[in-house]
Amino acid sequence: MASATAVQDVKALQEERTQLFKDVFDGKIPKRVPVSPSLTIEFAIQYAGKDLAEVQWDYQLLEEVYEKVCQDFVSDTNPAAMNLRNPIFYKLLGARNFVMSSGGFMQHPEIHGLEAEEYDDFIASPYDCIMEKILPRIYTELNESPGKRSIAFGKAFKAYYDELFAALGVIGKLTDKYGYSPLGGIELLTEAPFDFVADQLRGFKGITGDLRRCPDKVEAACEAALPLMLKQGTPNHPPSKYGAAFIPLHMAPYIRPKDFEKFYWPTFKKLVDGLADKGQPSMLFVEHDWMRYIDYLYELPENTRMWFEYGDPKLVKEKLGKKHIITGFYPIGLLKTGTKQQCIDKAKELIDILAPGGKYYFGFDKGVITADSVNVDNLKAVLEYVAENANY
Amino acid sequence: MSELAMDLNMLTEAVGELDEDKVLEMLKEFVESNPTEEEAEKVVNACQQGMAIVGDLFDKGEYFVGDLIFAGELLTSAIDTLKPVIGSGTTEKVGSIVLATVEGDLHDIGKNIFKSMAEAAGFEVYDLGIDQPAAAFVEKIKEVKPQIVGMSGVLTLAIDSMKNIIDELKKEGLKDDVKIIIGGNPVTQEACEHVGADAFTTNAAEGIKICQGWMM
Amino acid sequence: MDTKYYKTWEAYIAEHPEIDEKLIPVMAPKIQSYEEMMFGFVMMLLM
Repeated sequence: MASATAVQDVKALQEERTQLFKDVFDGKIPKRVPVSPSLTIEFAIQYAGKDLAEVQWDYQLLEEVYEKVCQDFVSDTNPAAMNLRNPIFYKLLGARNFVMSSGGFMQHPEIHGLEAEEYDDFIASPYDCIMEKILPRIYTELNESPGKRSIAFGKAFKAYYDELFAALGVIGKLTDKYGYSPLGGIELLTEAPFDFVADQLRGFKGITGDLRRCPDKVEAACEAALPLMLKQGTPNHPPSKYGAAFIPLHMAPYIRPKDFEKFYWPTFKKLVDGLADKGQPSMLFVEHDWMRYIDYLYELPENTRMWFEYGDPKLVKEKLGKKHIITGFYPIGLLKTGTKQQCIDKAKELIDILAPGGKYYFGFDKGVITADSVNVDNLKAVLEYVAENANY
Repeated sequence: MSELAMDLNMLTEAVGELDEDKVLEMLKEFVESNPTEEEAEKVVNACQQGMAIVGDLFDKGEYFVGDLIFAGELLTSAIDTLKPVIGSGTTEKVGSIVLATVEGDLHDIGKNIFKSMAEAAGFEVYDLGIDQPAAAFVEKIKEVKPQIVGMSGVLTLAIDSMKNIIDELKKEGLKDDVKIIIGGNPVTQEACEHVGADAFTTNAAEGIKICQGWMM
Repeated sequence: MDTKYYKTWEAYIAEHPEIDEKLIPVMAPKIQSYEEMMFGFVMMLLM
């Protein structure tokens, strides 16, 4: 039966792709450079010609949208991206931190859930403070009577997990159907303690003032947040060396080096070390340019995965390439403005720098968030080029 | 009062160093000394010079985005402190700016830094907020007739939005009456030409300098 | 974690001496998994 052969072929393809990532994560040289583009859910929806807001509200439409991306773009991991910012539970909670813009994008306005005078409460018991002070400030439906609050919580909790499991189901089905590697993605999301304190507790503006006005509290708050971040990055099943806690790094490039050393790095290092001690690898999105902290990154546990946005790929390969696993750097801006040949040449250039010796997989410098922010033909050409030519 | 009750250079330096306690303490003492409006203007000027130092240090890589945010905040509290002694009608605005984060983008940190620096530099700023479509720009421009229009955005999609807005301004015949500056993470020389803006910047302090240049 | 909003199984069982011992092996993973899901959800709300 033809379909049985096809199923066999897909299985073989999946095993081959999975092996590429196993080799990379084991520090062995794979057969070729694996490809893991970050095509976001917004990209997938726009590419399929669907309404951005509508599909985010209705996961029944997701499969069709994801399937089109799977059919048209070459990738070793499933290009169908998880929707971290599902609008449903945010809406049910009356969220102020994530709201849908007029264009249908879920975005993050600058807000803060913790006042500067409340640091001591957070430091004394971060989780109590989150439940009692921070969440009600960020989520208007939680700033209600206990009865209303528990109803809102119940609805949002159910919506969150219903949507999550439904999406995982669709993604898992496509992973098997198209023979993608289940490895090479992310399984959990956690944050550097400083970023956790900065992003939604104190806000970008709040934290930059705090660093000057009450530095000791900031330091203590990061220490207090650390156990929560460790717990959040640890899976409920025994960790695998092929899994990963995703840690998108945020604030470091925007603060002074002396603040980085004192406030950002110590608890971040403890987080990655602590996860590694449990057998859980970390996958960092190294946002913006970290070249001035490259020697710090070296100090992280061996085989930490680092997805770079900007910086010098040569320097990164030279300093980190033997110890850590690298991806990213490919400037998606070029996919919009460059010719097909220029785009392919850029991929070749990066592969020539980053691939030797292994510990590298191909990826872009950031997620592709809209279909019109790239020339789709260039995107296809680059992915095809890498998958067909980047052999060891 | 015949002599200014403060050392202006020291104030400029303290602003440049972002020494909040020192700056606010100096300004409080100054306000208590019952100064004339003319003296107050010299003090505002010293603060503005301090901001120029901040901009330079940012250019040199000694200050970071976090410092710019803090600088914006410091300036706002400095001007607030000085309000009682700055004459209400006397301070001539150097120009006016209609400012917003463009449609599809809700990020406002960069816009707000630019806003506080522009206000501190003596501009009248009309801040439309975030996620603003062409129609909102058109309406405000017709109403207040600014010399400058500022558009901000962090997402790559903001570029397309900026282009739409500028195209709309052209259609409405408003483009030639204003200078347009775009700012934010995704803006580049290429993007600036593509959207048809007059200038671009990823550095708010530099953006202010560009605007000041236009007003000369 | 020192909080009134999250309980380990050990803390839970200490508060519930009435629970039949033979049910513990089936109850523990259930109760714990909902505890963990709630923790994961709460943290997600701030990330």
